[in-house]
Amino acid sequence: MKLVLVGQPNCGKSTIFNYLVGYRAVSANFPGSTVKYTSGKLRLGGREFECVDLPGTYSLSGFDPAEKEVRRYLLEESYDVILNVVDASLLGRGLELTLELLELERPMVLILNMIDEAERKGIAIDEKRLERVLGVPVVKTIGHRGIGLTEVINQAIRAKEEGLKGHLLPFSRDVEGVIRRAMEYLTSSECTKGLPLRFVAIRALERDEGFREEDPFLEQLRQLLELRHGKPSDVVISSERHALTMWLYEQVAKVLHPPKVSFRDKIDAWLTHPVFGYVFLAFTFFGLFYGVFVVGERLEEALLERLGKVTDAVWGLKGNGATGAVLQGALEGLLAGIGIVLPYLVPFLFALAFLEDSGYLPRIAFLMDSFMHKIGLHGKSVLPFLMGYGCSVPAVMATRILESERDRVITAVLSTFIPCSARTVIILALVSSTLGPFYALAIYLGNILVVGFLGRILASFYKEVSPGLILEVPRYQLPSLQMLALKTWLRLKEFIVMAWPLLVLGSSTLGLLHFFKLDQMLNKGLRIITSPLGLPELAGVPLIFGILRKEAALVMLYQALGTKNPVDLLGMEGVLTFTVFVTFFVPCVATLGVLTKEVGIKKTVGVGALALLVAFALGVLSRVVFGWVFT
Amino acid sequence: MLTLDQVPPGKSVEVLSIEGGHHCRQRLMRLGLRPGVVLKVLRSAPFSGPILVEGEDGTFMIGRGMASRVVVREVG
Repeated sequence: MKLVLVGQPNCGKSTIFNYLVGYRAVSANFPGSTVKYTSGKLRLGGREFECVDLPGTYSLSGFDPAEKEVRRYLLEESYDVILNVVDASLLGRGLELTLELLELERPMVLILNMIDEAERKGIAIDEKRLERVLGVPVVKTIGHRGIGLTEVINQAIRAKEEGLKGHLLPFSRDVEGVIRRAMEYLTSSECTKGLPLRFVAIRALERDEGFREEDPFLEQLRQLLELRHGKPSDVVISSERHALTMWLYEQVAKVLHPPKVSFRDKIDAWLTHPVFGYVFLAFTFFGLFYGVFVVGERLEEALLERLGKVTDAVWGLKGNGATGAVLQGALEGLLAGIGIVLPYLVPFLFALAFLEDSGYLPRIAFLMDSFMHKIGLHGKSVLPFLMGYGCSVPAVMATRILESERDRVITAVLSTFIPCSARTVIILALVSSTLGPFYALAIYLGNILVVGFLGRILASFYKEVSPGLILEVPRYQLPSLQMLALKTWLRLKEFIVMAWPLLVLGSSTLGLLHFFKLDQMLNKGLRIITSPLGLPELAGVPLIFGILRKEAALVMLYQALGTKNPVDLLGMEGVLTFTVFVTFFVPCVATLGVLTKEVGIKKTVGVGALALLVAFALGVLSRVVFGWVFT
Repeated sequence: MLTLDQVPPGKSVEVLSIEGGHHCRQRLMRLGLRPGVVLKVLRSAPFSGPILVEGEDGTFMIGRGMASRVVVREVG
């Protein structure tokens, strides 16, 4: 049996999904954190269920690609029961989507999620009454604690078996009259692709995309509605739904006490304050990277001490033949994963998860909107950028929450230039621990300036202006430790499964190349890059392997130099130049892959070339500047 | 004619109409910003950034461009 979770953004679909099928989908406290659908299986009472988590959508007339995907899925795919999730504290608005979904005439369960939040707001909901009026089962839940979710599955079975498709609540009489005429016309004209007749008729009257906007008879009906109500036909239908929702809301919900000005509102006034907001933002970012660095450095030291003997043995190992060289390389890659990457990656992912779940990110979008306008974008693009600090792959995908093609392309391209967690590992492990955290900070700030500059250039290629900004701002919440741990683990698993093998592959390849003395040849060839950058020949292969996976550049640099004190061999300016180059260099293969899918192969090749150019130019620049600083 | 972008923070307004095309109107309406709704302007971001408004159903940030299409009148 196939269940699909549908609901408005940030109503807790992914949280419920994760609770049902085990943690699989990254959830976060901002609208649009799910941009593609994820499916998973669960067993309950000897039956197997497939559960699909769709992105959030405010209505069935989608605007951005994530919402269009929901609409496509609901209209074209096959499924058994719709699980409509509604944030109970925003019941009024949530029910509008519910009414739209009922028009699909499919078995459905209405889930009143975050019922605790509604009670805190003083809203009491009579779910029995709601059930009677709508004709579908209604279940109250608290998703993040798993309360009510077994009942959801039981009711889904009931909805399917008893065919509970709900009642269609009638609009006002004259609108119903026009709908009936549209329905009669549609029956006589052609099939409705398996969709309910009434649904198609309403969509057509709303002038919805793909529902015969050009048909002259339907156009007549639309004009009839406009004439009678003095407003466009889509507004007429939308107002009808809204009026029904309001009526329904009054039937089933009671506001027991007015919501108090909460502590959270007061915090928000400070965090989005025209002056203190920016001060806090700067502190958050500084604190994030500095905190991760301090924790990471301690962990690294402790780990290296424990692993010391093993590492020494491996580093000192003289491999027997080619197999020995490969094996030694592989071991080095494996140990580097534990000793160098994990100490920084784990605290960073945890801190990022906290920021995502707290609800602070949309506030950053609010504060940064006017700066984003300077580079031709708007505040909503801030969300993919911030995700880029975690990993470029979800950042590129997150651009699906943007409505216009232009914004999506520019944001996707720019987000690959944001230092992801892999690059953060390099910056913290290489620069911060050898030269001090302020140099690391300088790289981050410099990066933002470069991204801004690139944004201006990219925006000048597009004549059209970006559509207006409108973004919902969610409540703050204190993330639960368990959720944070699960989310960190989910992302860590990706590193272990996807990235670590690449690190091992990279360093064993280097071992092999070294054995056959091929690395010298390659390094000689790469001198066209390394020598203008003032880097030793040995750094050539590691630089290029950054394409495979950014951490590989660091791990292989250590391996190639045969030391963990690169400053001795590269000098301070060398370390900085290397890091700057790797930070801006061509994104890793995984990112290139997803970028190709989102913006096409041509633009992706362009991004690669641009990145090479920028990395090279900035590398030479930092060689000159830091060479001058350090002498 | 008063539009949403001209409302000072702290004031409550009623939405009278939404100018602009089908697309813009739909984007605002499905978030519950429709004629007849009362909104409170909470704050506006500096450097002509977006404004933060609180409706019956949640809080939203709206860019100046979009806000200038929402015709309102002061209430209360």
